[in-house]
Amino acid sequence: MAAPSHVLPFLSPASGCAARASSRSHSCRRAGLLRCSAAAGQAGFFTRLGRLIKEKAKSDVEKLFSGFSKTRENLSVVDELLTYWNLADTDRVLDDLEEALLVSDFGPKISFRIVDTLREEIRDGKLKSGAEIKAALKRCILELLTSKGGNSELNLGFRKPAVIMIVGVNGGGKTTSLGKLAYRFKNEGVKVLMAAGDTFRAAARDQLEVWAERTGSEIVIDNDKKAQPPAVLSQAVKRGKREGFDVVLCDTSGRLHTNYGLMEELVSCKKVLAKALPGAPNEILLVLDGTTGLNMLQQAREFNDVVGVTGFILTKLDGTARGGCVVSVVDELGIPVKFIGVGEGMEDLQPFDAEAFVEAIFP
Amino acid sequence: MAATTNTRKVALVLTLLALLPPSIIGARTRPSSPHHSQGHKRSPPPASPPPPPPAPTAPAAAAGLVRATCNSTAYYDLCVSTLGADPSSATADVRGLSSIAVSAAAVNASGGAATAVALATGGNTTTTVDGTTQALLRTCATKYGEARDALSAARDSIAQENYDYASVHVSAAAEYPQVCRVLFQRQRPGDYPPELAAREETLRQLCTVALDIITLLSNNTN
Repeated sequence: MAAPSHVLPFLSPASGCAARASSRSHSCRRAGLLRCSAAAGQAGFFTRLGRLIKEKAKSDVEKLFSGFSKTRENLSVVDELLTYWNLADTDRVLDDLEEALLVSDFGPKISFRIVDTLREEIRDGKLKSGAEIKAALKRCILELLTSKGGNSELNLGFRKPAVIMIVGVNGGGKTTSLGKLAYRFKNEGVKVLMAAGDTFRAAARDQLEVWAERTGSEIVIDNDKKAQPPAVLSQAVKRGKREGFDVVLCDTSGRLHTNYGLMEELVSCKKVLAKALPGAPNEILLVLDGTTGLNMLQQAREFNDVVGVTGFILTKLDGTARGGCVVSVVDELGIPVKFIGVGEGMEDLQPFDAEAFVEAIFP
Repeated sequence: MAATTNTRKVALVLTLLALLPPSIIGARTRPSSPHHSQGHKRSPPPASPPPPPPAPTAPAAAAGLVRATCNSTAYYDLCVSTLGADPSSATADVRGLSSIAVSAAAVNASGGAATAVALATGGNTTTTVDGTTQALLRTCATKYGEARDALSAARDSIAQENYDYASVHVSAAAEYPQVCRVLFQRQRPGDYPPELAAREETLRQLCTVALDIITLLSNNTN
């Protein structure tokens, strides 16, 4: 029986690729990363796409490293503290470490927990040198990000089109993040449709049109000022299905988490998407501005309660020394960070990689 | 003597008028008619619409707007005194008033940072300034500095009429100094300097006032 048209057929294996996929050989890359990883795991198109985008992050470590320079600078005191550490100094050093974490916006709760864990391990004789303490600190943060944050790959389901809804407060970089995400997808040969669901601000529509042009994506816009966001999104998904788009990226009106009327509109958007395409939206990504530090926790909590956030996009982290908020938001809500913004460029929205992040702030 | 009494009465009426919100003044003021003073019946209305009521004097209108705006905040007295202390409130609209409130909070945050630095350098006797306390106070100064920066960002957002984001920044500003208190509670219980405790509370209240005014703006534009 033929697969239904809305289910993506697996790409055919590229001969000889599967055996060499794990070594990521040059010939394999030339044969096309998409085909190669498809053969390796016989995974669906979207599973491969999510993984591929994540893997690309590994090669962008320098970008991540420079993006977190201010946070790293703030935390450089940790090296100073631990270089000359001795057992008699433990309490003072750990107090100073606590302060360093707090200044970088690891929240009080998480800073205290990390330091208490280290204190216990020192007391139990498990950590005997400054280098071991630093390694334990990094391990602690990494474990937290991976165990609580779960999978940071995009989960795009199995049907065409995959639908991603972008939510957040105006000014946090929502529309820009959507544009940069489209750019990432287009680079992988994905057919992208944008939906201008922010009908409240004409400027947002214009901005999205510019991004559509820059990335070579299609866009659905309703120029009627009275247009309702759910209607625009529904229209976009229907067109996405009809015209065989791979991904539909839905912009929404930026709203404050305390504005309950407008938050309810988000719920309507979500329902409309599910009605237009069962299983949609595949991802609801909340855009949070890194420069607001720990205040993002409250926003994240409220948005999650209302609409059920599946992942975070943290923006403007290159302009702030508050990189610790990445850990706090994951710890507090158990929702993974999917992308981080570490610069102004089109390619500066990076898939989040916990290991690379920890290395960037504690080299 | 009668003249003095009349003057007092006029002054009293003017004071009461100044206290009334502009909407009420506008609603109650009628166009003056030359016949009124003679006690004649009012002549039939002219074909053309009557001229608009005279606008209340600028200070009265401004005071009315400040009071009406502050009525929507959690700390009315603090709001009135804060906005009233800035001369530009006399000509400001609600957006201008929100900017004044944010600026006042920013001044308080700057003061908090300066207080923490002064305490760290032994400029006050209420706190024992050993090495640990000094380090804590430096962290406090950093956090108050971050609050000031957040409020500056809020002011920019208000200027761009991005009220949602202004709120986010003001909320962030209110939270930063709490880290200072939490650190003292953990590392130096009972030693949290009263000067900083007072600063933190005032900043929290000023941020609440600013948030309430921004919410007014936000509701009017949504």
